Amino acid sequence: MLPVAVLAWWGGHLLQVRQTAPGRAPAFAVPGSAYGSLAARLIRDSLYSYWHGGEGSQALPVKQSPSAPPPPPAPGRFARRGQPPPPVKTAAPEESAEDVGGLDGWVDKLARLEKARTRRNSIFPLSPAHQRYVDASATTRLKLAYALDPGDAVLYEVLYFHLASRPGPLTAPALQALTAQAMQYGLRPLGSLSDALTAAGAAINVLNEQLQGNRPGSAEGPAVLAAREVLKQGLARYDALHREAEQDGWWEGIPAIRRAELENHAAQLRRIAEIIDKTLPPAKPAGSQ
Amino acid sequence: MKSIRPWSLFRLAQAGIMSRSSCWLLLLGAGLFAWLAPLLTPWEENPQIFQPARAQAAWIYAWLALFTWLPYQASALGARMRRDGVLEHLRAGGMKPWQQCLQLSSALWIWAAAVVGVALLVCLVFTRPARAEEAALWAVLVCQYGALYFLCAAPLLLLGVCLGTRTAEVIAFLVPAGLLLSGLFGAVWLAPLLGGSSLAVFKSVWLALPHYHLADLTPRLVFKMGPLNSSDFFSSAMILLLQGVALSILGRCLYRTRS
Repeated sequence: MLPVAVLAWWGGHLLQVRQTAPGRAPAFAVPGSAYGSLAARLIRDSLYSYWHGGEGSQALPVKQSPSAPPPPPAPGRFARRGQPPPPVKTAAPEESAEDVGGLDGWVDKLARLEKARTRRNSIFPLSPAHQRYVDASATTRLKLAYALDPGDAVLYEVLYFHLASRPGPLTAPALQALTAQAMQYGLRPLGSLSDALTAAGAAINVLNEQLQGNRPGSAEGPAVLAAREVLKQGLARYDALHREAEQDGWWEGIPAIRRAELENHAAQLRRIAEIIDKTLPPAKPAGSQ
Repeated sequence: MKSIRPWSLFRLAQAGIMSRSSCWLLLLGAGLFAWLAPLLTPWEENPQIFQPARAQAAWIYAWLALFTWLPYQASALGARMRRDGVLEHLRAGGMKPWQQCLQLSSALWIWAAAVVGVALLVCLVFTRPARAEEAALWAVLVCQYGALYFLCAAPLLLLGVCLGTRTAEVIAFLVPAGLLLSGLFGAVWLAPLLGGSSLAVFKSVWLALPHYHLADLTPRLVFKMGPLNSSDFFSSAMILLLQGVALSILGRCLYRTRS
């Protein structure tokens, strides 16, 4: 009987099936779905922890260019995208914690202990090899989180900044692929508010890249025109979705902190778009290229 | 000895499963998971993802059950029946090993079908698209998914039961679960390495893996990609069916009635 079993096992493939080797189609469609979004937010805690070398949160390096990404948001599980960095830690709250008694005092004490749990006390800096390990771990987590939720505008900006900040022969193609994918994903039908902002952010990154160094004629190149079109479409898409959300009533259902983040991010992108429109010659209507 | 009622072993196995009552928790869990899991996602920002997330949750639960409860019950059932001497007793009464295999497995297939039923209910009642044409396509897709899932589940459970009658419960549980793991994830992960290789040996190894990933139609549900072409569907079903037949024959060879 066993030879029959072996024949049956292989028999399916003898039927001349058009069975192409599947691409990297992940099981259960988690990336890009609602659960991917949830998982990407859950990864953030560990991502920020690695990003800051084990510590909770710090002020980040100053931005260099108008389109540089916003700093990574404060650590926190839900709805904390695009938050301004928390104020630099001072000793004041710790002193005041001793003043209050009762339940509040205990709560404050626990919070202080939790902060102390991830504070660096060692007087020795990280060795270069260890720093590379921590960086690599952060990169892995960042890429995983972005793969799980490609429509997350802030994750996209952080990933772009991260890739762009390490020059190498493979940087330019990687960045090009990232922006192209983000623009395509963000403008797909049935995209969300955050998806539209991702596309607009990617378009700004492309413009920044193309216009570097003020090469003559670069402002009329096809890549620049296409990116300006995507930027316009992304922001228009965001506005349309926003209006629709307010009309249908689900705008109020979004947590307030998350609404503020979306609005802040959109306002920032709009400001940059205005600057671009002022500095570049007016774009020809779409389709004329 | 003649068995008095038809399908007596099936009734016995079913009574054993139901008296342990974890089966009701399985069904309750399916409903609860499909209800609660989408609420954890950030669906407020994009209400359109809410209903697909619910359908996705129902099917993920079905696969999780096929990784855990179902094969575990299969192996425990096989081991229990053999240990208690029931199989030997019935064998002496003239019941063929094939019949015993089928009756024991049917007791598990019912619960696999019940999990699929919950998923179908969630998809066809609670998350049905509003447009009539889209709803028809959706129903076809969901039925295709149910059929392919069952083609994966049935032989694995039969194998679990048969292994349970021969080896320890743990082994009988791990083998079907491992096969499912390699078929769902391993085959996809190894595809670029083995399937894309130029060496015929590697390609053959890849072809010889179980191909349960063909049954995972969740992306089509979540991103509303419509049903499979009927030719593709029948090819996938045929591969899964033949691999299932092979596993069933293997299971029958491993089946043992001696206590």
